[in-house]
Amino acid sequence: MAYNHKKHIDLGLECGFCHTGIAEGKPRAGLPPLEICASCHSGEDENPRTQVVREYVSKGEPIPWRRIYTVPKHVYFSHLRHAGLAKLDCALCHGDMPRTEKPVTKPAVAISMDRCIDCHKQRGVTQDCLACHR
Amino acid sequence: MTESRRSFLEKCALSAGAFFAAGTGKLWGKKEREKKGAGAEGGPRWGMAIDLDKCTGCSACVVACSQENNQMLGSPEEAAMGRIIRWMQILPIQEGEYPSPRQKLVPMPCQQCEDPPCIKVCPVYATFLNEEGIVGQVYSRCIGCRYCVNACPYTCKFFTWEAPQWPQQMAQGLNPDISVRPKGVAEKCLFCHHRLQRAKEQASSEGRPLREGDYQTACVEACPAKAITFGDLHDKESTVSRLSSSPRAFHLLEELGTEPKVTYLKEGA
Amino acid sequence: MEISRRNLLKLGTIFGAGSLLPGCAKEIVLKPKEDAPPPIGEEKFLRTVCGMCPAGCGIRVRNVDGRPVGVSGIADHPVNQGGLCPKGAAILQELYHPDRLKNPLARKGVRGSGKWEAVSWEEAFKSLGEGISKARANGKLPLAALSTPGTEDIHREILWELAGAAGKNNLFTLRFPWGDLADDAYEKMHGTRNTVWNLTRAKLLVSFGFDWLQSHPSHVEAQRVFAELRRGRSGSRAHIVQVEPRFSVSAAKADEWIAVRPGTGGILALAVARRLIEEGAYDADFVRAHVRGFDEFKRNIDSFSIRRASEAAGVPEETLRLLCVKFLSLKPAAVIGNRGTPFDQMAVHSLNVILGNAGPGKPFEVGARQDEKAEDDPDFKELPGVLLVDRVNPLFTSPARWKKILEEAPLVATVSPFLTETAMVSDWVLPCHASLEQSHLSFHASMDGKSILNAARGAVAPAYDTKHPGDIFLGLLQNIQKKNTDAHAFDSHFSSRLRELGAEPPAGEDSADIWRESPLPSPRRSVSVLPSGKIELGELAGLASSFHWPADEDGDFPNLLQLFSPLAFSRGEGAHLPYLMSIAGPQSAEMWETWAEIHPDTARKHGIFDKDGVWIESSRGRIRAKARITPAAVPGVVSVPIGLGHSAYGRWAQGVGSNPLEIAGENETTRVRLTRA
Repeated sequence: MAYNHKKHIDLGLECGFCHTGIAEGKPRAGLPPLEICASCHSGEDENPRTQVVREYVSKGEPIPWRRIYTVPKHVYFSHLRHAGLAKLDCALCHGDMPRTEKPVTKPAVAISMDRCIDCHKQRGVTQDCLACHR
Repeated sequence: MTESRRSFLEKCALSAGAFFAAGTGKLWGKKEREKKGAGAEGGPRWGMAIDLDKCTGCSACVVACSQENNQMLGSPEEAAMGRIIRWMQILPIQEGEYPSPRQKLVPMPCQQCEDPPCIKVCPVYATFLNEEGIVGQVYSRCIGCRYCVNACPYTCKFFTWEAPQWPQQMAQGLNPDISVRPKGVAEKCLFCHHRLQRAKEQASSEGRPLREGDYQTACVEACPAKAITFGDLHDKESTVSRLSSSPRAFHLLEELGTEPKVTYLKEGA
Repeated sequence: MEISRRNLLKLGTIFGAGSLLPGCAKEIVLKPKEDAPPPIGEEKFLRTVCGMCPAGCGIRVRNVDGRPVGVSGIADHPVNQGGLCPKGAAILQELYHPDRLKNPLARKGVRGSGKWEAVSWEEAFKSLGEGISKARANGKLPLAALSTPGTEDIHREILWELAGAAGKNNLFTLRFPWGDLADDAYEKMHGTRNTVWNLTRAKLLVSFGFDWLQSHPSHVEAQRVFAELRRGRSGSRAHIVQVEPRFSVSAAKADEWIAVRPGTGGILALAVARRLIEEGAYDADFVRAHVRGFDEFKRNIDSFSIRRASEAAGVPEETLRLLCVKFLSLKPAAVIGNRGTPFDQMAVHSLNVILGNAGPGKPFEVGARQDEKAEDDPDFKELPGVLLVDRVNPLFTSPARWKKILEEAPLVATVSPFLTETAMVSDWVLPCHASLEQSHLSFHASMDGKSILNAARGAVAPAYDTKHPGDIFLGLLQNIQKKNTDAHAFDSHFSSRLRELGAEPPAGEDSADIWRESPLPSPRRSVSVLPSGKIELGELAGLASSFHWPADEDGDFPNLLQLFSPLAFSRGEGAHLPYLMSIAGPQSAEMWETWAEIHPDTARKHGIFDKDGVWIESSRGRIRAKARITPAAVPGVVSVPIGLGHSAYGRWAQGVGSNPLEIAGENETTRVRLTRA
């Protein structure tokens, strides 16, 4: 699906509006559930570019988003802690999404342990292995 | 092998009189901790007190721990080889004979030593003492050399001989907060550290410090006799601090100098 | 491919060194893993009632993305006060058990052949309804239902209704003597089984043969009461004595263990009673006011001297005299026993009677709940048209008695979430929900005498085509009443019953209370509900006068068998859950196998070493067990746990260990012989 981040952000939506979980204070930020899309893309729209979305909505079928950012099973990462409590900028890990017009195909930055550690060192936050490894 | 180490432990405990003599009530040594530089000043130091006078050995803690920490299911074959892993287990210690035997049933989680023998032998820093006193184990870092499993005098570290198997339906009940350990690593009780993470996040999103009781381990929560107490040993007001300095308090294999943060309270008035 | 340090090292070896990885391999190694971690998504806590036993504990279930993944106790629930027992802690394994029954089954081929056909509920109800009408037309007992004692809940109410519609006096309960209190004695002596043991009131607790810490029917409460007796009341620590043929958990945790031969509890109790009466150390005022048949009792127990009892039980006389002194100095006492022979039960309870331990405010109170009218252990001189087995497993817990009945009964239907031994020989298997899927509406009495009403919805929607047990009985009832089957009949029945009881409909959310305390139904101020208003000692006096003292050693079977019921397998259930299998024997770290505790001297006589396989043989047959030689065992006594040795009951239970109930006598002490296997 030719999803356009820029368009949505320009319309004044916050990241957390679609990526549920951040705003609700959940450890995990999710990909947009169908109801969120449906709240705007209802039937009356004639725009051919959003035809695909309306089809999913009318069929009630969840949109098959592709998850780009994953951490391995043995890693605990909490959006609540990073985005919610520490108020880190989303762009830090996810790049400049508000200006991205094309669908994302690969992570903006490589999510690696080195990167996590560097950032934790710089900010003087915990470097306890147990804080992330489970 | 587990069996013989277990009986060795029993003998040590008995000969040292640690179980039947009154405990010294000594808290884990602050001086040594400062010497080693472990622990942030003012930060919490998690510890546990287990009252053997209240405990009945019912094993609710064992099952609650197994459920919380995605522990292997077990089988007759694994049982026969002594390979069933339970981070919390009941250690039976018996002395005397008919008609007047005596037996202690001792719940054994990781003793969370202040000076852990297991971390000294780890060649890859997969096991370590973290800043709040919990002996950590990072499974993805562990190379499965089993040095730590053998170094632990309490037999509280376990080696995953096989990749654990869950029938598809059973896997639905796995706790999503905890990873399933792969084959060939050492694993151990982490004082339900994932619950600490959740509790900390909960507290800071409510804009308050962590309170006593926010963070409880699964075994504490389940205990029907309320025999296990958990909390911050740095907080002198906490129940666990008070109990740890009780005249009934003692530690397992105290003479080894491991300074466990699991304190036992002996039976009797 | 799972990329781990280990695999990386393996690859490294193949290609010589990690840095020399060809481009394609690099991609495999460095690409982030595709499988996402299990989502920590929508988290909800639901409150419901634990259904693993009838005790009625309140539990809080952690649901993530609609799936239960954790369980804990409700802190302010009056029964468990936040605690769990191991069975409750293992409740998720019951829910997710891969061998749960998924739909009703009809037998195909001969009984017990293990061949089944999946059928609809309608077919099952129709066939059973026909069986009932056929028996009725032939003038036979149309239906007999066999259930578990100690439950008073909505499904049992419907079962009563069903039983009533199908005939009279046809609801029976299955005894499990190791896990019940001495209910028969309470019924005979006080006129009711509905009694409360408020053990925390006692300064001296003496248990005759009841491993109460492992086998008490309310597991959580038993452990809590123990902790309270030990450290709950500052300055008045209770003294606990365990009189038992096995060094059990209760014995290990007691202040004194009095080791006795099996089957001598009643003798010892009467010897102590005789001595207390002789010394004038009983509560004469209480006996005068509340007891009938005391003089006869006193006369008839004259032969129960301390000396004779000491010889029969293998206990030094001095130990028994000391026990009498304890009764004299520590008051009030509580004397408990399990549901052994009627003589043993009543003899043990007679100590409470002569010491005046019964009555309001005392450790033993009568009449907190309504009376249970079901009869125990039917002998079925006339077999019923339909035998309905409600979540009990008689073929496992009482095989000698039930094998023949189950073979000969014309139509057998078993209600169970699993294919148990009894279900295996049934014609119809009616699968009920797992306990987390069930709605609960049940009455309980806590050990401190509170009367409690639990009302909760299930924590999760049923996964298969199963029904609530109450729904099953309602379906059958509708069938025999020729009413149209209504799919929502049970839900509306549940709601209307709630309204009648004045309870709020359970919301199931975390804050919702699933229980309320109701005052005792007309609390009885007396000590007995018999017509005389007095405690009856006459029947015990009769049994005492005709008592046969145990015979001498039997040459063929020189040893005595002592059975015990570990907490993990209470009521013979639990071996189907792997986490319970792993805690079977906390005292010897035994698990996943049947073991037999043997004294070193006894073992030496038979050439048996620790961990050898042994055959334990009685006149009824033999079983195999792993010998555990322990100096704490009573010489000549072989102790074996009940709960293992299933021939069905799911993959973890089937074929593991042996069932000692297959070689045990019904009411008498079983004599056995040991041979090395």
